[in-house]
Amino acid sequence: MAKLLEVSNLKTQFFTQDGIVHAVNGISYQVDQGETLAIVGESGSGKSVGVMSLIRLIPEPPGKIVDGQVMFDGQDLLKLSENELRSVRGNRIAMIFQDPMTSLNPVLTIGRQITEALELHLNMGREESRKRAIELLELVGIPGAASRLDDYPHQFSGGMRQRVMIAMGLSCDPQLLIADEPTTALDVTIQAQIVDLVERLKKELGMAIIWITHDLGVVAGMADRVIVMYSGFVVEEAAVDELYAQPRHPYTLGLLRSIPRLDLGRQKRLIPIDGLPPDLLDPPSHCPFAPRCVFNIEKCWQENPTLVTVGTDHKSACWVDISNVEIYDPSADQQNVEAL
Amino acid sequence: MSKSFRSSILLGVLLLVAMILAACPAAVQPQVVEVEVTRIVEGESQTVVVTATPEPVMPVSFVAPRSDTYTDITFGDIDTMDPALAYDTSSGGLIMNVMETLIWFDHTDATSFVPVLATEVPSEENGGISADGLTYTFNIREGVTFHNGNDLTPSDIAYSFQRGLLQSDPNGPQWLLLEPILGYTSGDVTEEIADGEYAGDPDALKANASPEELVAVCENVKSAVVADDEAGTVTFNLSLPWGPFLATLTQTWGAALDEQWAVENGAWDGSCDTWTDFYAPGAENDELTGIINGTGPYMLESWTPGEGWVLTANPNYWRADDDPMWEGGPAGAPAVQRIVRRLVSEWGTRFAILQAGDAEVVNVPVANRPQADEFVGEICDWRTNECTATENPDGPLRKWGDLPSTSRTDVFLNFNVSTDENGNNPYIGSGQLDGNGIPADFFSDIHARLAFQYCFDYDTYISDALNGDGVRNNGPIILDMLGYNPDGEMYPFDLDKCAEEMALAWDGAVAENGFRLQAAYNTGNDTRQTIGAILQANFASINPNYRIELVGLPWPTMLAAFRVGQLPVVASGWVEDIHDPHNWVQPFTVGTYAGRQNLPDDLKAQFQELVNAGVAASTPAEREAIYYDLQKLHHDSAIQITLAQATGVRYEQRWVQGYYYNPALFDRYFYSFSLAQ
Amino acid sequence: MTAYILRRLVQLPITVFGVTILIFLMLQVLSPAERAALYIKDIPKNEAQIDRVIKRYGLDKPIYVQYVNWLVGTVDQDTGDRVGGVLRADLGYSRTGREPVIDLLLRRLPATAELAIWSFVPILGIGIWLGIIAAINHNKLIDQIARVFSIVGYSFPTFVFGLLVLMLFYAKTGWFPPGRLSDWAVQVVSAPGFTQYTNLNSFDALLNGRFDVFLDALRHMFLPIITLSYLSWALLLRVTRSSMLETLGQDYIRTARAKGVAEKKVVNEHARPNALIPVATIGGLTVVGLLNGVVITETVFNYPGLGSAVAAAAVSLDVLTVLGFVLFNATLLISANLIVDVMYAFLDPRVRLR
Repeated sequence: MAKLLEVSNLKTQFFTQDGIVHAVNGISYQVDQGETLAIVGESGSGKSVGVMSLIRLIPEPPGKIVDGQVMFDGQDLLKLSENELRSVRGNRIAMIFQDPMTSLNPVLTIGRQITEALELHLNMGREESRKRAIELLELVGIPGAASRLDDYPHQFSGGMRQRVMIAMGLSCDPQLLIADEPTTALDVTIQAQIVDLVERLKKELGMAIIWITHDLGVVAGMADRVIVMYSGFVVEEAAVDELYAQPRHPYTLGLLRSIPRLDLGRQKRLIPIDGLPPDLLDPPSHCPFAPRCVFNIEKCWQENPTLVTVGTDHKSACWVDISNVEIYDPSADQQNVEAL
Repeated sequence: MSKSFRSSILLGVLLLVAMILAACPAAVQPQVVEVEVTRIVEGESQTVVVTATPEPVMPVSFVAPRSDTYTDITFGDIDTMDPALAYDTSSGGLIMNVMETLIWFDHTDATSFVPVLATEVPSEENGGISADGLTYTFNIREGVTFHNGNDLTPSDIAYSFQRGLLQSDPNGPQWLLLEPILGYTSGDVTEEIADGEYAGDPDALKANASPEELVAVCENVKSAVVADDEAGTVTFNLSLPWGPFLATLTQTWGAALDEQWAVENGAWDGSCDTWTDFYAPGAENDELTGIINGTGPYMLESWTPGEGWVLTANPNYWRADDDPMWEGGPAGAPAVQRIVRRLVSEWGTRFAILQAGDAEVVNVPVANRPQADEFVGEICDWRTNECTATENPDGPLRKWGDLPSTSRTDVFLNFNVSTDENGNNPYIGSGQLDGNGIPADFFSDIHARLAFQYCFDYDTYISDALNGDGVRNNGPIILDMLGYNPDGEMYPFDLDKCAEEMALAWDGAVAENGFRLQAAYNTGNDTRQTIGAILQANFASINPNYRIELVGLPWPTMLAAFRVGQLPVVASGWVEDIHDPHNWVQPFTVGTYAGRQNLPDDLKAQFQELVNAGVAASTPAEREAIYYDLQKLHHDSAIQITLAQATGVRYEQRWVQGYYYNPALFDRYFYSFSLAQ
Repeated sequence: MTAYILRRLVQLPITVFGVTILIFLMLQVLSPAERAALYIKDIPKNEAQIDRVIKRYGLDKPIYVQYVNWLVGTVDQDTGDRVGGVLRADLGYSRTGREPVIDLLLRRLPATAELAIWSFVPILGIGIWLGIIAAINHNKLIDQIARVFSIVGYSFPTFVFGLLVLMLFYAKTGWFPPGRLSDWAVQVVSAPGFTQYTNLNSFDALLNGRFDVFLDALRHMFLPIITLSYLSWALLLRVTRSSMLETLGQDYIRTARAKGVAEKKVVNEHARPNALIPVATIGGLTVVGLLNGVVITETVFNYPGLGSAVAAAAVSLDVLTVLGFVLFNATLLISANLIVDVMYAFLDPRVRLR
């Protein structure tokens, strides 16, 4: 099956007064039709910039996509003209953003913001697009959709607004939905609702999803495959179960260990990853995670590991095979050590 | 620095430079025209009479772009169109073109008259003036109509004068007539009621005066100015012989109103029961402020306050074609159909209008004359009408220079300034001769006054404050006027003499301790400021302890200080009302200026005697002798620093013809103008 | 909303009269002789003039008496009726205007209004347009040029610029004269066949079918409008630019772009309505400033509007005229503020009050 999206060696940089910020340093991954890919990483890992680069939403200046290829359905998005690109955006690739408060235009009605895409991409007339908009709102679970069409964003709650954004994103039946931390700004119960909604819609509409998050709990619930990013690199790529069961990159391991887990019984304390996020202005030529890595060896300080296959459909960029390494964790109890 | 930032800086600089260059006044490049032109008027003036319409020969190119309109741009709006009330030059300028008086000035001669509404000028020879100088009789011309069609009768003239006298507004000119006609020196018609207690206050007058008193005043006025329609005469019965009387009648307050029209428009009906309703009205309550109906060559088309006025020629003007105003003067219908006066307060704008050629004349302030001079093509002399070309012979403007104005600014020294209850006065410093002030009676010492006379640099004043357009006077009377003594003494500018006199002042106390006083001027008045600066500089150069400080006061403060006589040294100007020496000597020896100088009683009495004698004397020769004495006294007592009479300048487009100058006129007499077609 | 408007309107007379009391109080500082300066322009010709003027105009009466007279009028001696007073719509007599104050204000208002109406679009339209251009071309050459251009305009003293353009475009060429109308046009306008509906020459000319007069009126307004505009563009440009830049950085603009909306539409339909909200205040104040009468421009171009009339009155201490103008101006300002507030509700749905 041909891949829906194939990203190769994407590099994006920002040219600032302080220097060049290497935000995305040559990442490659793929997304199948109907697949949900989760991109995980901390702030500054390049996950948002990476996906915004796919549809060239990077402001130029100061940013620039300096290298790479984004093959979407046979076309390299990075080489499309403005017009061609715009017919992809919102139409075949839709994107929803993190903060529904600020991502909707306060002076336009939500009806207008939805019908705009419909009129633009599907050439619908006024009446038809309004009908479709009402359908979409009902689809995402907005009660009283018809009467709310002419309301303004400030008249909706946070969760409702995110539903509206989703409705907007889905309006033209995209093949790929990119969701950049859509639930981070919402409280947990609403978060669950949104995740459920997206799951349901995915089943109904069959679209692929790229879901960006730093929340591993959400990833476990809905992703098919996961890539982990650190300092602008992809450091691990695997199916979701495989990743959780057998993390092969120290960073992934660190992430997993720092979340509370029900199956591990009582833990005295969560284990964070020591150290600070890397400086993207002056990236080292060695492994970017080395300063914070408990497994680091001499080679880690000399050369940046590339992404290599370490199992079925499982890639990792590390010089060390951590599955063979025992960690002495004084705060963990006996059961944990044996589990490893 | 990024490239685009640098290039935008460059662009900004270029823009600025471009604007500055554009703003530099481009020197007018006279076009070289190969035309043989005679510039001097030759041959036409071999007779005695001055040519009425001087026509300096000019190139054909100077043709009026608007063949029927004469536009004149100045600042200064009129106050009122009521001739009895109008007392400023702007109002006077309009009224004198629309209304007429009994007699008028003979062309450029300010001392002889031609008859206008009268049929001849009264004199002792023709019996118009009685032997004792108390009765003036005028024969009134027949066939004269007002602009509204009514006929002019002697009653109209009598009414005009009676109404004016009874109106007696404090801001008006009636005081000039009240003195000779009724003998009221206070300048108010209610002088005899409770000693003038209610002067200027109509409400108080009506409330307090008895009906008999009021009627008596009115009847008094009516018996002073008497009309006889049958005989066609108007007679004035003066209270005292008055040399300047004819000159007084010739100004706008002597203009003829149409009684019927006035009454129809709500003015006084002539009855002695109602005159108090029209007493001291102020322009706002005067019924005739905004409307005008005269017998003159022009009619008012419109007046827009703050913007200007427009006159149109009177098609039914009474003067026949063969009856010129003076020999060679205008006759018949006016040559210019429309006269437009526009008010533009900003000099730059007036200058632009002049350059664009959209006006015939604009008012050019003294300081800006050099700018206008660049455009002058010929300079003409008002006495001979001879013109000479300038270095820019094709310049569009004609300049009439050295027009002796009837105004002069002098410096007044207060013999005894007023102080408050604690003896303080802000302008005399400490109030003692301790080097930090002057005593209130500082100027009562003649040496102090003489020092000020010598320490004034008269030539610098003329060149700096008057732009060179001025001529010194040696006493209160101006040049060329009856009573002016061409051999009169003048104080020279002499720093040594100044130092000498100051050393003698107050028995040497001044030289020992120095002095300090404040010379005030009203802000915005550069002339008066310059005067102060001259005194300051010269005294400081003799002795650094001789300190004169300049203080600019807002006009209201200045007025208030002047009223109570607070200012030790003040520069102020006088503009003539009547072209007669009395109008000059009176204010400078006993009247509004000298009156505030607190002169010692004996000196005051001496001046008063001479002033009274001068005005009552019956022949010019007698008057002249008296005025010579008066000026000698004025000079010797050094009560004021007499400065210079400014000379005026007129710039006009070269297609204008017919201009003449008479020092007694407030404004142009448009009847004499014509435009080259 | 209605209640809000009514409340604001009720506050208006209170504020206005507070201001008039303040002005009268300030007069306390002046003595009667100083106040006589309104009636006496230069050193008086006869000695008694100052005293008589003081008596004639009641300048030595206490301030509160004068205020009450101004407010409710005086009792006419002959008829016993009360005449005059602000509450009877009589603002007094304007010494400098030589007519009743209310007549003076009404007479001069059309000139100011005409200039304001014709300047409104150039000032706001071009100023805002420049700001948007500068914002969307942030830091590029056009942005720099626009900013330099407008700062030069802002720094130019009005009268210098006015005289400069007068010299360039009138003195040498005669294209755009000062004043309101040429002499021939004045004659047309005051002739009986011409009806003055509004006293705004340009509109009256159109209503009377006189296109030549209309063009003449515009010709005279051209330079004052250019002057007023050039000096106001800087402010509008700055505010619009910064507001626009801020708006363009907002998330919802990113959303619009992600939807595939063309950049032009993003700027015009998504960004601009948001960016103009703060500009509304500036726009409102600009219009109010125009209606106040722009003294220097009126003086340089000899345009007889409210500004020059009131400036002349203020300089001469013509209190009644100044007070009448204060009443007019306060009403204007408060109304304009109200309109701007209502406009805010119109522009920004978040502000709408139920």
